[in-house]
Amino acid sequence: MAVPTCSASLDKPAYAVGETMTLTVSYSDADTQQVSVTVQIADKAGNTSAPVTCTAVIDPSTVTTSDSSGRVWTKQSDTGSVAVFTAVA
Amino acid sequence: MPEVSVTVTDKSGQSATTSAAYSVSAPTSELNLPRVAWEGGPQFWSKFPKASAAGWTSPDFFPIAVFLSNAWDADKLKQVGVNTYQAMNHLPESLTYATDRGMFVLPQQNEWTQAQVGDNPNCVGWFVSDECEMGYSDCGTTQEAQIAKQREYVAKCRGYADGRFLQANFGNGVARTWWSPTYFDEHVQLMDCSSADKYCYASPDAAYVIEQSLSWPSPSYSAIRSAAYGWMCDQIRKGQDPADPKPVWTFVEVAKPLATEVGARTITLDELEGAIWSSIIHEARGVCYFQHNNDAENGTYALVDGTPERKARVTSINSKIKSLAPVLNTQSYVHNFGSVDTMLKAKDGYAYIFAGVGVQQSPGSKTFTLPPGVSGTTVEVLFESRFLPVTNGTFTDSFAAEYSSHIYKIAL
Repeated sequence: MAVPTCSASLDKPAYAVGETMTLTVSYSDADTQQVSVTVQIADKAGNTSAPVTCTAVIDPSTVTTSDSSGRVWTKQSDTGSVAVFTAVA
Repeated sequence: MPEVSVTVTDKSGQSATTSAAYSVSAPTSELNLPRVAWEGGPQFWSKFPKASAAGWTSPDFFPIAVFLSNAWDADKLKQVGVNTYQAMNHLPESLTYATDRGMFVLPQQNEWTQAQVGDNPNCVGWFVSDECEMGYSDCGTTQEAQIAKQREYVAKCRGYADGRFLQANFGNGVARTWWSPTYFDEHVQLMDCSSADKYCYASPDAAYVIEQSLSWPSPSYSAIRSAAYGWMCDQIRKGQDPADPKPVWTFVEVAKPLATEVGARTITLDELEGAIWSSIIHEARGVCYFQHNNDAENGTYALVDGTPERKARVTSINSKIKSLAPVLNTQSYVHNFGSVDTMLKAKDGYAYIFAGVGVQQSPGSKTFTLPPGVSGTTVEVLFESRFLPVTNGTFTDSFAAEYSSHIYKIAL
């Protein structure tokens, strides 16, 4: 089993009180599979629709945060490889 | 420095952790704008040990004076927000009556002796002269005699070497026309702090003097307006050495200031407040009230014997000034908001805009264009329980009359 990897970066090094801080986490895990399914419909006459693609992550990893100052970070989005959190400075 | 740790955990329980550090600072009080030249605000008084020891260097202190009044009225004057006597009626046994009550005094040097004032810690300065450039204060009838006498007075007080600053009041000299034209600047520069009393609202004669000034827009443009009081502060400052700026105080009549000419009247309460804020917008570092009165309603001393409405209004004005002292005691920024007379300050994460109707400006709707660095989306109108929206970096408010003024507070 592979060990996950991750990196994190803030949008700024310094904030004023009350300002929104944005944290972007990039991560990956070799054991996690991302599956994409593409669907396309064809009728009897040979007409085809535009393809539609869905993706899903098999056995996704979880991303958690903790803050030494006690600030609460809220997850805004997570694609399976990039998660974005925000907190108030 | 705080840091946020991130842990990524997969289904098998294996994990990876990383972290990012950041810093959080208090909201800035600074705007990235040029500053208005100043004398140092409250720190100016640190040059004078008596004033410094008495607390004049505190950012919470703003001089609010009364001209030549009775010590026995100290409690009543304190009640309306006065903290300083700019000259005091000469009853030697009464001095400590006022200072024991926390009042500061600038005894007039031509009446109070060094021995009578002694080491009184609340006597923080000397009042050197009143309208010497016009010949008053025994200054003589020629401008040469007047400046000679002024130099003599100053030399006497400097000679005391008692840690007190020197203050003088001026009159028609601020027009920079006929009165001591050669020496008016020197009169001002001899002092540590200056004021000028032309009661434009109450006295048509005083307004006429201002209207004749080459620095006033034209003789036909009436000086019976609040903007004349701010203009006078600028006129005093013109007399200063730019390399050695000093505090300028304003002088505003409380009622009918012993004016007897045709058309003389009592200043209205709205005019009184407008005159004060116009002066402060023009960087007045102190306020002095002329409370002597000759109308039928406000007694001899209008801050003591005036109508309840008049005393209440002055109390209200002084309360506003006192609550804003930490803001007023910061150095202003240069910014043109549009066709409105303004002073811009910043303190503890907020911008403060003091606004009125200036010389050659008209009442009505005014749109303010905010400078970079002011990001608030709502403007609080202080002391009026109103809020205004900011739209595309601007906000709009109404000024009903020439004496109207507003104070705005917006987050940086």
